[in-house]
Amino acid sequence: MTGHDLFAAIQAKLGPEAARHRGIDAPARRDTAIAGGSYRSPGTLVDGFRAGDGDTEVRGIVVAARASTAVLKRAKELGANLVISRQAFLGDSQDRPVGKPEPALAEKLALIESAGLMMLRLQDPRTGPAGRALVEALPRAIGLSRPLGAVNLASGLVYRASPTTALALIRKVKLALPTQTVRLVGDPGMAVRGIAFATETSRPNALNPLLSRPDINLLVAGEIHETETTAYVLDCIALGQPKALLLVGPIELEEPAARMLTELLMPTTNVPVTYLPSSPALLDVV
Amino acid sequence: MIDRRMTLAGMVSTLLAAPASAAAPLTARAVFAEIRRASGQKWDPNPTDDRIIFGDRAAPVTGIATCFTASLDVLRRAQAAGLNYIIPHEASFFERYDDFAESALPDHDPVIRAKQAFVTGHGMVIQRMHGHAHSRPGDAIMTGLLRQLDWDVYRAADKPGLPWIVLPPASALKVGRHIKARLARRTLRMLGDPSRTISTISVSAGMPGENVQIQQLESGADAVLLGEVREPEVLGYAQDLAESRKVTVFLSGHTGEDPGMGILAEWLKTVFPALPIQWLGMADPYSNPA
Repeated sequence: MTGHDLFAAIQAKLGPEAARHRGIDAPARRDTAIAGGSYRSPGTLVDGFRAGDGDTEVRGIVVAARASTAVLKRAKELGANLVISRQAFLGDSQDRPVGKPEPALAEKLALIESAGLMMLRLQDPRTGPAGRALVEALPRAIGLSRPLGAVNLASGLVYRASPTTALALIRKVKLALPTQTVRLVGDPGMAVRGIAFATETSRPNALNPLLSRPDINLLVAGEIHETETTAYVLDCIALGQPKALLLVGPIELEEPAARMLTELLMPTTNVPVTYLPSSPALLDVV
Repeated sequence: MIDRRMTLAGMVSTLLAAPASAAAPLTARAVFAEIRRASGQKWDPNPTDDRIIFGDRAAPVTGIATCFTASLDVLRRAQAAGLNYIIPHEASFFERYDDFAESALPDHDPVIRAKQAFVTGHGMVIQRMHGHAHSRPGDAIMTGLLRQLDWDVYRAADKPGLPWIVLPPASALKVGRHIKARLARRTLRMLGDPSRTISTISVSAGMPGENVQIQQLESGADAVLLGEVREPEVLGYAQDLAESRKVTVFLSGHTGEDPGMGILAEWLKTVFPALPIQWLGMADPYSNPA
């Protein structure tokens, strides 16, 4: 099976790509906004081969939240030649260069070439049972199994919580993610009633409408725009509203999905499929 | 020929020179005009909306508060201190340019409405000062950050551009603890080996852009201190760089810019000597409960 064959099989297995809809947190729209465009510009799909020859026979597969250079080196050691990355790994959200010059990026591309790696970005599937399972991987990993409402991810993944506190949920998140460096805005002892998950990285201020909903009082996201979303939560709290924001990191947010994708791929191919955490990871100064 | 601006500037100067008891209170409009004049900068509100964002321009000004952001907490503290002209560095209404048309929140959002009601009800005025704080001589925001860190004396004089700090060699953990303590962070995230000895640090504040932050990583400094980052791009790049050489990254968060507004308050005291002026600092909004 070649890389392209495998990609086609994955797409068939994971369900249709989103119908030009990137959810509440569209990376492409975010990039447009950074460049001075409207927050409301249409989204773009991101999946596909980013480097390497997709016509090569697949000998082994590594799946990562972000295919860091350390992940690529380990993949080479494992004898894998196809690396699947949930997050962008070659620059911005569409894997375009960010800064110039970028020596570390050049070294990474040289490693990809010398090791004969195929690099596949896979973050678009979010409809159909398997695509939904990937999107819901983190909530499922902390015991939340059934989101409320419609399947429109623009409304966020929303769950009604069993009686619990923000601190209890944070402890579950830390068990589910390979990180301890989460950040909470709000009271750890707050009783959580409704939880919303932003399923991708950061969408400036579009998360605030989720937080403003009366049935949601904890938002879990990878990253946010601090002067917009953090500021909003602080003012909610100042008004006496029991609200909180939990930031887990946009790379870390994809770790449960990468693990789940690994499990989904195993029956699809007879070559080894290995999940590797993206590294190195952040630490807290204590 | 006397133009309108000169007339206004003259009026303000006259008012400032008059005894406080005899002078009519300055209006918000006059205070803003004098800030623009005294800054000596060609004032262009477009890049970051350095303008009166909200409030009655005709309101008499009782005092000035500078701050990182005009949160409700800051507004309440300002009101309690008798300060009604608020100068935040960042946006006040949860949209980076305070552009209500572009905001994802509806105009009737209860938090926006409550904040507007507080400002209006207490005769307050919010005037943003972002780009023109950075473009003060020496960059007021950076000056404040370095002073807060006690690093101004370690700044290399022969390195133009972003501050290049040369500290006595110390472990990354020790430097991180210093940053955390001096900036009153409850959390400080870092990337890299805490036991590594570092000395040179490239410093930026706020969110200057991924390109700038990646250039810092490539500057050859032992470590970088960054404000807010887009993590997949910048921390992702640091992840990759760490495979070819040692990397230490400290993340202060966006509020590392807050002490710079203290520098701005010091300058404003020279512009409005008769007005009470305070910097209202912001507590670290983040915690990492165990």
